[in-house]
Amino acid sequence: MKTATLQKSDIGKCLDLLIQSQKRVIAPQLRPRLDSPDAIDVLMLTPLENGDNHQVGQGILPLNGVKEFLFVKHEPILAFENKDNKVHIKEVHHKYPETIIFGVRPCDAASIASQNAVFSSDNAGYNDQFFTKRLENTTIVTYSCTTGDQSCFCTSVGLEPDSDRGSDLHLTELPDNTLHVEIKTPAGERVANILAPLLQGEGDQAARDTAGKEAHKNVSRIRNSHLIKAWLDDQSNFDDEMWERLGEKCIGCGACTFMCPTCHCFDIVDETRGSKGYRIKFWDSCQFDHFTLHSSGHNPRDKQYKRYRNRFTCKFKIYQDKFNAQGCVGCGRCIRDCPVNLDITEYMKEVDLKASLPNALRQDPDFE
Amino acid sequence: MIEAIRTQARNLLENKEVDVIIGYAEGSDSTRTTPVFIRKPEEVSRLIFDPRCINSLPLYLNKRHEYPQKGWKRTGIIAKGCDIRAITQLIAENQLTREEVYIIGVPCDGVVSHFSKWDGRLHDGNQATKCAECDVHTPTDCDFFPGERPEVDRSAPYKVSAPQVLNLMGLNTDKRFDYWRQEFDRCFKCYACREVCPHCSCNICITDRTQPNWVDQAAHTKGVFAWHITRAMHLVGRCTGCGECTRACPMDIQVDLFNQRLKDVVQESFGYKSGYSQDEKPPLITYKTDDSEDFIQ
Amino acid sequence: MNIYQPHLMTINKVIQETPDIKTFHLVFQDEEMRDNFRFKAGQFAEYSAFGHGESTFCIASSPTRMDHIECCFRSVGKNTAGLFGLSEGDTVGFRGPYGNVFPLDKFKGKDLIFIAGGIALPPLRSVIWNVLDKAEDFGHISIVYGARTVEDLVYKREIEEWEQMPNVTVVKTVDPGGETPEWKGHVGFVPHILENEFAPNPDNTIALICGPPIMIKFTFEALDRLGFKQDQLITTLENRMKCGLGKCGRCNIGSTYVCLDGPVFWAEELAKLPKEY
Repeated sequence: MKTATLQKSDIGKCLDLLIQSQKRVIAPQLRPRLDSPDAIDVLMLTPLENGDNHQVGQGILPLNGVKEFLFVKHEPILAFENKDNKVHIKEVHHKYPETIIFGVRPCDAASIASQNAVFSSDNAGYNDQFFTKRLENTTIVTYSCTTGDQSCFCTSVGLEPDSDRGSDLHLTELPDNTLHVEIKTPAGERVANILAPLLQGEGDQAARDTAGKEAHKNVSRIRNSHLIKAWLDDQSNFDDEMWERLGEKCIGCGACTFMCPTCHCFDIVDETRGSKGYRIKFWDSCQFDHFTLHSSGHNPRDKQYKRYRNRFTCKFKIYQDKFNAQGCVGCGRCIRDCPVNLDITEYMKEVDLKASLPNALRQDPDFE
Repeated sequence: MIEAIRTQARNLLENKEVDVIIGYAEGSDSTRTTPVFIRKPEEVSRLIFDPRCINSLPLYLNKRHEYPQKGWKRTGIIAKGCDIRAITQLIAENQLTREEVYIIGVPCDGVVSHFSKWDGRLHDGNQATKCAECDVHTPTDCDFFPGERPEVDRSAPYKVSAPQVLNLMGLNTDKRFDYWRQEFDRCFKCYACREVCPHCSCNICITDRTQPNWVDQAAHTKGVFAWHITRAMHLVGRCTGCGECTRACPMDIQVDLFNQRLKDVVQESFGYKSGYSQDEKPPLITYKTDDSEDFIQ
Repeated sequence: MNIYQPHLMTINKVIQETPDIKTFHLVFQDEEMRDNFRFKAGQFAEYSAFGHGESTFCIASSPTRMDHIECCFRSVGKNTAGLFGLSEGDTVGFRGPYGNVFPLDKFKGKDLIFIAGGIALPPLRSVIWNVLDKAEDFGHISIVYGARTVEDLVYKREIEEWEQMPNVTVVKTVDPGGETPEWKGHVGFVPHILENEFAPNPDNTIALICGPPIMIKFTFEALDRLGFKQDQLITTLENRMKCGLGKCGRCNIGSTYVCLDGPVFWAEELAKLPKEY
């Protein structure tokens, strides 16, 4: 693997070089501040015009993940027209510009493989070109975390703050204000070639590993997740009292699912204007009550806690069983943004406890 | 204060006067609290109250949710003054009867605007703006109040909304539209603003209806504008200004600016302030036979 | 290729089955599709009235009769109302076939009992005509079919046709209160009539069941009491779907996606799934 060193102060110049090479460059920026004393500073991944005001490597996580640049919030998937009493359908031609997303955090980068497992032909041979064509034209430049906040839990789901999964070019901050650069893929190499004027010599692998270990210590929210899958596989736990007790406060909004980098559910509707229309695919959420509602009025998930049970099961079982991919990358967005502080790691903790109890104790009705 | 509340809560549960007490407990980290449902007397020690208790709990009393449940005697709830306004409004709108709920009022000096701003105490830098204008720091109607309840003069003249509303009103239409287009570009319609609202009480929201399809469901400009304008209009004269919609927005859009503006309009046009009377109906969901306008005939 | 792009089909014939249920006979507009399209009994498709959306129905016609495709639907939602408003000569969109199939090979030489309620007969009708067209491969055919009222029974003419066939027994019923003075069938719920009036012998028999989740549950229980084993019961589920391709995420029962792993399930497979259908 090829490595190099980059001055941290040169990130802006890197972004400029990439923009000059006619690529669409997306990087974290501070969102224009609201005219409100209640406002909080938030980072957003935003297409850049120049490298001046980037926030690469700053803060914990941008509000939006890379998801919305690959599996976009809404897009037409078909155009149709009713002409002379006949329906004509037309392919919609989206542009898939060559895109570099710069400064992606490792959790977000790892989520791309999960989404790809759903949308690519790996899933029953059906290739969702709207996702895969975007992904083909996207290069991911990751930036290791040096710390986490109270909601981060990547280390609980088998990732590390310096993981390079899903990365084409991986940057890790070193204490001397340089960046250790790792070229992971041919796409990463092409980016490195554009950045060549700013790259120096080989990277210091030992210093990079030390930085990774330091960062690991700063992601504090450690939960065990290795017992969860087997516990969920045991069908008798489907009716465990935990689901209702922990899920009772859930209000059924879609914030956790829409913020989640691996959530992939969508809806399809037709929108018409006169005789013309589009078929539109757009984000949907398993937390909405009508999501699974049958036309007969029957709803397999008729209570909110059942919907959250599905979400948790999707993350820690269904993704593995069905898509052979990781369902949760520990980014913590669902925790940060839940209006009622429903915390997925509380479920993880509870399941871990239940799963690690000896069988005899678990079957004892007096044991609580 | 909290000990008095816990004692009362324990008594209520032990005497089976209430089936559940909805209150606040410690959250998943030290900056956060979470709604909690206490059913056993021995669990009352989980109840807390401090400026981190932002949530408007009356949302759980709204008919869309499961409290109060059929056959229940009473639902207990810990409520700040602003929450009691929400409960009062729910009663005015027949979502709830006063007898179904046991209100444990708490004196409140204000809450933080966002959990990430909590640094151990409440101060000008982290207090929610709604609290600065609040006239119910001491709750109005409640069944229990810890300690002596002071008399409060609530006759202060009506103050118009937050400065941001006025700033926006000062812009010309195009600029204001640009502002909202920029803000709404982030909206992905997770409906946190709807689900967290104590007053969004429709069993099937108009945006979820498809026959006809009143509001485009996708989160494109048209669909997002249609949603937020519909939401604001449906809350005219009903919104009690808890600001939960803005706090809940994961994309940090200040959606309650609409509600604040409309609150002014209702005050100016009808002299009505929501959440202060269980009997007076919100002006836009009622009519009078002697109405001076003839549209109703 | 765009996996969401439907094929265009022309409605050749519309049959009004009940006040709110219609059957369409559909023919591909593209000649190549007309020649090459293949499916098997049990599979489903996404049908669209353009401008209204897409809906999931099983293909109701038999793969032994490929001159057209049939679907049968009730007008309940936005798209089904849109479809309901279409007439002969109009265009619908069609994506499919999707999902697994009824394993007809395993039914060979056996007696078959088809049990359906209301709008759930169409998914079984595909199999019924398939086995009737190859009657020499199968034993006796029984069809137990019920609806809320006489008016709600679909395929009324075909039921008469089946009643005339020598190797077919038809047991029809309507819910109490749904009968008319002329009604010659049973009165009572399908599981009850099945168990107490028809009481089939389980020997060398397969029961194919389709209906709402509550009917499936009670029918399984009735068949269990009649001595049927789990490996003699097979059903088809209809969870809500949008894509039919395993991507939109709503039809799953645990890790099982009805669109990819179903819609056809043996009772023993169903027993292993969480009760979320």
